Amino acid sequence: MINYGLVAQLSKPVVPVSSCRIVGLGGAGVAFLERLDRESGGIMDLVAIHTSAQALHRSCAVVKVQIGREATKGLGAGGDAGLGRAAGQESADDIRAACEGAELVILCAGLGGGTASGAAPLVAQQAKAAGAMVIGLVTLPFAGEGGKRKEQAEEALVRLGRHCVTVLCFENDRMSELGSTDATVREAFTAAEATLSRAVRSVLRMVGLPAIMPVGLDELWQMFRGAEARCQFGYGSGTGPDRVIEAVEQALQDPLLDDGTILSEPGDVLVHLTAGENLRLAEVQSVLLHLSRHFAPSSQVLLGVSEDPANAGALEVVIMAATKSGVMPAVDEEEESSVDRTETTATIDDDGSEPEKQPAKPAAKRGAKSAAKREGGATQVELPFEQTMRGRFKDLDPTMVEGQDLDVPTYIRMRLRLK
Amino acid sequence: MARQKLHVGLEIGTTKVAVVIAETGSDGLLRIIGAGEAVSRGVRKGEIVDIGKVALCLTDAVAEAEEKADREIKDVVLSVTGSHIDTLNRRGVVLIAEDRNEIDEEDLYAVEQSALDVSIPAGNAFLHTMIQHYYVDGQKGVDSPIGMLGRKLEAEFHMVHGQKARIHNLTRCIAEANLGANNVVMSVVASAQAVLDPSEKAMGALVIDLGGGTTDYILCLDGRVRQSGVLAVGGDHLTNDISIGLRVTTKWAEKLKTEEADVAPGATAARGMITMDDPTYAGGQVERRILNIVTEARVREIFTILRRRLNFERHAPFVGAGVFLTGGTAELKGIAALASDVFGVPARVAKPRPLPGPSALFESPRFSTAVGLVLYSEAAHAALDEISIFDRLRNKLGRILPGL
Repeated sequence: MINYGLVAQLSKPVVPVSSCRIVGLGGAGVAFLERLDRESGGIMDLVAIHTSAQALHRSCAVVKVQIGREATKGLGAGGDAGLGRAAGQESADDIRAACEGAELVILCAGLGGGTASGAAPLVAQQAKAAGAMVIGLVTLPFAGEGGKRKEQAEEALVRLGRHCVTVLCFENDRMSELGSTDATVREAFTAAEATLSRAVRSVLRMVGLPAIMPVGLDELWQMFRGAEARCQFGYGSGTGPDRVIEAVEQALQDPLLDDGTILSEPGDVLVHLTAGENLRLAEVQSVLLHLSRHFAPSSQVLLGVSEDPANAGALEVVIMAATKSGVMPAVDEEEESSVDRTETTATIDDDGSEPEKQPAKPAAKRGAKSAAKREGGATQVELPFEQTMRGRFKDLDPTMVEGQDLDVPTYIRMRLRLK
Repeated sequence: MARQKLHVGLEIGTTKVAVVIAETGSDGLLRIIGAGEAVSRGVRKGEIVDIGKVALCLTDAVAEAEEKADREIKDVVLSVTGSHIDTLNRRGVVLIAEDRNEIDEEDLYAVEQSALDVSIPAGNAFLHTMIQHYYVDGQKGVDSPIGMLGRKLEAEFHMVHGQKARIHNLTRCIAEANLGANNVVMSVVASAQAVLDPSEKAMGALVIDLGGGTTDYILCLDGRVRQSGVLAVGGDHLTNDISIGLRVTTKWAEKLKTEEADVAPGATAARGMITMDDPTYAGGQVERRILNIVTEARVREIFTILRRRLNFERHAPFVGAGVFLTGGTAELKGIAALASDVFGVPARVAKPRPLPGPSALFESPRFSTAVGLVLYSEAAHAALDEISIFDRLRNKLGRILPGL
């Protein structure tokens, strides 16, 4: 991997930024492009896709695709995923044309609404057909938004997963964790957007910066093949002497990481570091050491290191993890039937390109699993206790013995029931 | 002719600072003449995190001991513990020169040096090299090979090393309190000196010193140190567990631990409630059963980790004197029963062996380390008197004090 003669000149970027395209779909997706554009200084290739002509008109994106002129008459999809799907089908060729020539497409959408839920799987499919690798970046609606939106979102997520290499999900319900409790709605949304925008930028940097240990698209593809559609993502950055700890800690607390619980299940984990020329080998080792505590022993770790001369003092850590769908618990009856319902509708609209009885419905399984987690009393102790349960030792180095943090009360680690 | 000599043991623990002053009288007997104790601040898991705070506590404890003893102290022997302490067993070998084959002092020194030729982390220093066995031409069980004939001398040592920086923090605290350090001793080596008599060492014993921040252990077989070590888990963890598990303040958790908790194997089925006489605490009562479950789980875990680390099953037949529990946390109810349950040999709570002097001063498991330091200091002093100038220069106390 490291050719000593060539280290000084580094490898070329795996994928030049010019061949990465960011697609914003639906109201939330298009609005999100705005922020990305501002933060990246306008260098990203942005594509806005929407049913609403008015929203598109206001967008800063260079390429704008209005879908479903016939189906929606230039208005929104009004929260109806069926309408969104019809709109997508109507304009499938336009979508494909907009993705032509891209190697990597990041599809951003707020699932739950009409356009995004209906058209997202289609957009991903078209982008894939145009020869690009697709990574989904979606938000899931608040629980309080009601059953229909949630159902539409889950449905869309399942189908989106089939066309994407992987999907990063942000649950709006976790928004409250991002800021202080008295954050205003505006602040909370801004913080959520910032999280997502960081995710997009760090994926682009991962494949786009000159690398000492490059992570290729093919490796990403390999890693996520056969894994759950939904991927866990963590980003952290640190500066100064403690930058390793800072970055690792922040990455493990990323709202896209689902409390880090998934990391302890066996699977593939990508760890990617970006730093200036002064990155020390010891720091790389230290990052891996700290993270390896959170990984299952049998997990595969793929390491990438990129150099960013513009940002000499900082160290950025990105974790992407996917569990193999093979190890997921069996889907219970109820969940299976709802997926079946999805399947029947899907076969009509989804171009029929996928066989009807797909053996793995990863995202749905994931949904079932997290639901079980929420309800099951016995599994409650699985919630991350590391920070909260160390009590008076929370500021000290953990006492690690035989892979356990002994500062956490024994009864918690042994899962003794106290009631 | 015996001289009068002061020995001062100073233990800077996680929960307390303890000082014991002893004097060898003109009759050659060691007498404890004063002891002092102060609540420790600035120490976590056995390691110093705030030198200034520790120095203050130190001054209090020393002042109390000085007042009781009516002596002024300058030099002390210090104990050290913490997760940075590590141990290893290692064998050294020397071939005796051709022109002579009678083993002499120089060869003992050389064999120790050969054993010390091992890589320990940079920044670490050896605290003890304790002789386990000498072998002369492969023959085991040689206690003192000097004067024997042989071509090859081998020796097995138990070695203790720790981070210089952490040890420096200790000596720095002492300096702040205007004291000097004569010697630094691994905490549990001192405790074992205090609780074990020579016959118990010979029979084989496991000493577990349960402190506030750490649990230190030492396994003596056949009069020699076989294994020792530090686990950075102690009484503070118990308090923390109780505080989290029962949702009580740390102050109440501490009180429940020392007054109510019972870790005996059957006590997890205890019935009834404990009323906390505290109007500010809303709950008012906690279940005795839950308190016992939480504490028993922790202590059992500590013992189980030690059992695995020591590979105790293998040694159990040679541990004739059983398990000795000492240190402040050994005052927990039912702990001896739990220890014999885990280790499968008899266990008891041990306080320092009786010494001449006002025993009320120090007769508690809490003072084992400080009393042991005094004994260590005395033994070292006596040995230094006897040995050759050659060894005195090298100050090889570990070898001179075989085992302990």
